[in-house]
Amino acid sequence: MNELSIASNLTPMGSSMGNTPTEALLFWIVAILCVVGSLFVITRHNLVTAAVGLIGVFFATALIYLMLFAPFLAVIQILVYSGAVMVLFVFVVMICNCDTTKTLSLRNYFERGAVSIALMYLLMQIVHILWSLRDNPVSMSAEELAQRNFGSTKSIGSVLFYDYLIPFEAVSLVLLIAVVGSLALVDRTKTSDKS
Amino acid sequence: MSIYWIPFFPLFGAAINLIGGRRISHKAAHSIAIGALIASFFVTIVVFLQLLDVHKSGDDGLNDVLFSWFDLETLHITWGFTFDSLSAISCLTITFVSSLIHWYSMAYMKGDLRYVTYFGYLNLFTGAMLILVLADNLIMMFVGWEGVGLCSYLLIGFWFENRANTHAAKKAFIMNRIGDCLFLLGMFLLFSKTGTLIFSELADNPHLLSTSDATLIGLLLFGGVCAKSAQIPLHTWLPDAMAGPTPVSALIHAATMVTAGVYFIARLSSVFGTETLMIVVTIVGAITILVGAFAAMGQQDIKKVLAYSTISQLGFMCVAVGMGALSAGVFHMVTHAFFKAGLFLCAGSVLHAMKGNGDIRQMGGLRTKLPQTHITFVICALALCGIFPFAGFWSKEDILLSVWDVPQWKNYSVFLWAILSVGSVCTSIYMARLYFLIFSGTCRASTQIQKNIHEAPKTMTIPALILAGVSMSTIVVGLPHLELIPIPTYFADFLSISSPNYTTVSRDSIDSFVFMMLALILSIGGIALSTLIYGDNVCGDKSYSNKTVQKTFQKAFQQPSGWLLKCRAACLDGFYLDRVYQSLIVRPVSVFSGFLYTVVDRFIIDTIIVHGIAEIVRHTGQMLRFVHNGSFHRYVAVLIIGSALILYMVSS
Amino acid sequence: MINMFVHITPSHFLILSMVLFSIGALGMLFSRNAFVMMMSIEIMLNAANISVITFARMHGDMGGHILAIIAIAIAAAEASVGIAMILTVFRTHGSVDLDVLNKLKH
Repeated sequence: MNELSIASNLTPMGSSMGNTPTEALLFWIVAILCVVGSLFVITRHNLVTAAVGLIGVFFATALIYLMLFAPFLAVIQILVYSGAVMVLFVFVVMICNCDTTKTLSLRNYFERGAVSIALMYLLMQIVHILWSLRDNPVSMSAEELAQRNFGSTKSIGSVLFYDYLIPFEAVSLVLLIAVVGSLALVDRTKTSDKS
Repeated sequence: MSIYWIPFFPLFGAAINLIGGRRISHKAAHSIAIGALIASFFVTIVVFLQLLDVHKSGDDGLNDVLFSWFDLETLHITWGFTFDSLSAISCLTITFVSSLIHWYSMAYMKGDLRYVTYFGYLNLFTGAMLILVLADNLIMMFVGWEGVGLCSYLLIGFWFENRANTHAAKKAFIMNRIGDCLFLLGMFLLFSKTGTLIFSELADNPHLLSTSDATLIGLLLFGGVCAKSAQIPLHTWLPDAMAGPTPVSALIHAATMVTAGVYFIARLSSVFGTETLMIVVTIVGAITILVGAFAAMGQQDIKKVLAYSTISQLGFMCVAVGMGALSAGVFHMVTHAFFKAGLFLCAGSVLHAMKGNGDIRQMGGLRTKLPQTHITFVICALALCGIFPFAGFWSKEDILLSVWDVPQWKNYSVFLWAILSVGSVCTSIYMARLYFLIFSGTCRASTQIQKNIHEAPKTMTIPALILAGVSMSTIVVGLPHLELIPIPTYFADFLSISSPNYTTVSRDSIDSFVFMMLALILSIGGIALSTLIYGDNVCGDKSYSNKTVQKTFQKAFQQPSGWLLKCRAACLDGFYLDRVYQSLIVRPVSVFSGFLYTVVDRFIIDTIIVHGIAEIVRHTGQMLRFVHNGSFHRYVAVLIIGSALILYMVSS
Repeated sequence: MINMFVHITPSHFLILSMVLFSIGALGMLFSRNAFVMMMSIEIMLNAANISVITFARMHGDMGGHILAIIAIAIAAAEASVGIAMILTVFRTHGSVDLDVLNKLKH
C-alpha cells in the first residue's frame, strides 16, 4: 500500500521532508489546484459550476493526504466528500435552481475595510508563525513511518477501536441525530399541515 | 380525673368550630361550645373535690405534667399544670362565668354572619385563660397570656366591617405587646437570676433573688401586668375594647382576662414581696382607681362607663395585692367577675332593646319595659357600690381594712384609705347615675325605637340573673377575719393552705366595725348625691325638679359651666391620655415611618437601587441593540475582527 | 530561494491549509448565497483537516488521523442538516439570500 503512495518516496533531508524535485512539483501543482478550486467556488455565480470547483478541491485535498502518509483518509475524503456530500449539494442546488446575485454582502465599505484589514492581519500573523515551523525537524523519516504502517487502514482501525472507541461511538450518535434532524426539518407533511 | 382535661374541652371545642367554620350549623356550633364549657366546669368541680381531699392530707395542691415541651441545658419546660387553691378558685370562676356567657351569647349573637367563628373564639379564649391559671411555670403561663391577648384582639375586632372596631382591636393588641415586651424581659431576667421558671420552685426558694434583682424583675413583670390589667398608664385600650360584642366585654374585659394581671401578682407573690415593688404596685393601683372612677362619671356610653368602672375596680385589686392582702385581692377579683359580668350582660340586654345605641342620654324609663334586666342591674350595681350585704361589700371592705394591716406604712395608711374611699364614693355616684339615666324617668329615645323596646329573651336574662344571684350569695365564703367573733372565713382559709403568703391577720372587731360602717355610709352617701343630681330626671330635659336644692345641683351638673365643664370634658375624654399618646408617641412614630417610607424605601431602595439597576441594564441593552441586526455576515465579520484582536493582544 | 520551492516542509502544507481556510472565510463573509456559504464551510473544514494530518505526519502520531476522520463525519452530518435547513428556508421564503433573511434582528 505504501509503495503506491507518492509520499513514500519522500526522503528526509534536513528539516525538509526529503523529497525529489518531481515530488515538489507535484505538491505545487496540487496546491495550486486547491487554491484555484477554492477561488472558483467563491467567485462563480453559477452554483453548479461552484460545486464542480469544490469537487476539484476535494480531489486535490485527497492527493495532499496521500503525500502526508494518510492513504485511508484520502480514500475516505473522496468517498464521503466527493461521493456523498457533493452529490447532495448538487441535487439541492438543482432543486432550488437559484444562482447567486452579483453583489457581495457587507455593502458598507467601512465594514468591508475593517474586515479585510483584520483578515489580512490574521493571515500575515499566521503565515509568519507557520513559516517559522519549517525548521522543525520531522520526528520520523518516511522509512520509519512505512515500517510502522503509518496511516494504513489496519493501524487506523486498531487506533480507532482501541484508543478512540468512545469518540467513535459518540460520532455515530451525532450522525444518527443529524439524520433524524434533517428528516424532521424537511418533513413536508408537517409544513403542509400548518399552512 | 386529670387537670389537663379542664383546658382540653374548650380548646377542643374551639378547634371544631374554627376548623368547621361555615360547614357547621349554628345550632351545632353553640351546642359544641356550651357543651365543652359545661364539661370543663364539671371536670373543675371533680378536681376541686380531689383538691379538698388532698388538702386534708396536708398537701398544697395537685400537680400534673402532660409532657415535656423542651429542654435547653438548664431550662426544662413542661406542659405542667398545677391545681392549688388559687387556680381552683380562678378555674371555678372562669368556667362558671364563661358557661353563662356562652349561654347568653346564643341569643345575643343570633343570626350573626360569623356565629360559628364567634363561639370558636370564645372557646379558644376560655381554653387559653384556663391554661394561664393552671400553668405551673412562667412559660406555660405566657402561652395562656398570649392566647387570651390574641382572642381579645380577635373578639374586639369581631365586627371588623367597621373601621373603628379594627382600630380598637389593634390598639388593644399593641398596648398589650408593649406590656408583653416588658413581661418577657422580666421573665428572662428572672431565669438568668434564679435558673428556674417554675412557680413552686420560685416560691420555695425566695432567697434565690436579692432584693434589688427582685425589684427590677418585679417592675418589668408589672409592666406586663399593667397592660393586661389596664393599669395606668397602659389602660387606654380597655374603653376602646368595648367595640367588641357585649358578651365578650363581659367575659374578657370584665370578668377574666383583665384580672389575669392580678392573678399573676398573686401567683408570683414571692417575687412581688419586696417593699419598693409593693409601693409601686399600690401607688399605680391607687392612681388607677381615681382615674377610672372619675372618667367613669363623665362617660355617656353605657359600656364605656362600665369599662372605666372595671379599670377602677382593677385598681382596687392591684392595691390589695400590692399591700400584700392577697386573699382580699383575689376575693375582689372573684366577686367583681360575677357582678361586673352581670352588669355587662344587663348592658347587653339594654343595647338589645335600644337597637345597639349605647348612648345613655337617649335612654331612660326602662324600668317598666325591661323588668328582669332592671332587677339584675340593681343587684349587680349595689354589689359594685359595696352595699351591705352584697358580695362587693365584703370584698371591698376586706381591701379597705387591709390598708391598716401594713405596719410599715402606718403613717401613710390614712391617705391610702382616703383614696380608696374616694374611689368607692365615686363608684356609687357613677353607678347610681347610670341607673337613673337608664332606668328611671321618661324615655328619651326616638319614638321608633321606643315602640320596639322589649325585654330580652329568656336565654339572655337568666344568665344575668344567675350572676346577680351569685353576687348576692358569695358572702357566705368571703367573710373577713375578726377577733372574738367566730364567723367562718372559708375563702381566706382555703387560699392560705396553698401558700403562706395568703394568711390574713385577725383584726380588732370594734375598729373593723367602725370602718365598715363608715365605708357603707360613704357609699350610700354617694348614691344619695347621685340621686340628688340625676334622680327621676335627666339631662337634656328642661323639667327640673321643684325642690330648690335638687334644682341647683341638677343645673350645676347637667348643664355645667366654667371649670366644671372642663372637668366633665376631661372625664369624658379619659383625661386626654389618648391625645397625649397620640402626640407624644404615635405622631413622631408615624412621621418617622413616613420619612422611612418616602425617602429610604421609595427613593433610595425603589428608585435608586431597584429601578436604577434596571435602567442601567435597559440603556446598555438599547445601546447594544444595533449589534444584533440579524445580518449573518456581520456576525462573521465580528468573529474575524475579534480573533484578529485576540491574536494581536497575544502576540504583542 | 529556489530551495523554498524544492524542499517541501510541513510548513508548506500548513500554509496551504491556511490559504484554503482564508479563502473559505472570505467566501463566508462576502457571499450572499447560503449554498456558497455552505461550500465555504466545507473548504474550511478541509483546510483544518490538512493541518491536522500535517501535524500527525510531523509527530508520527495516529491520533491526528482519527481526529480527521471524526471531522469528516461531523462535516457530513453538518452538511446534511445545513442543507435541510436551507431547503426549508427556501420553501418558506422562496430565497436563499442571507441578506434578505435577517429575521434574527432584535
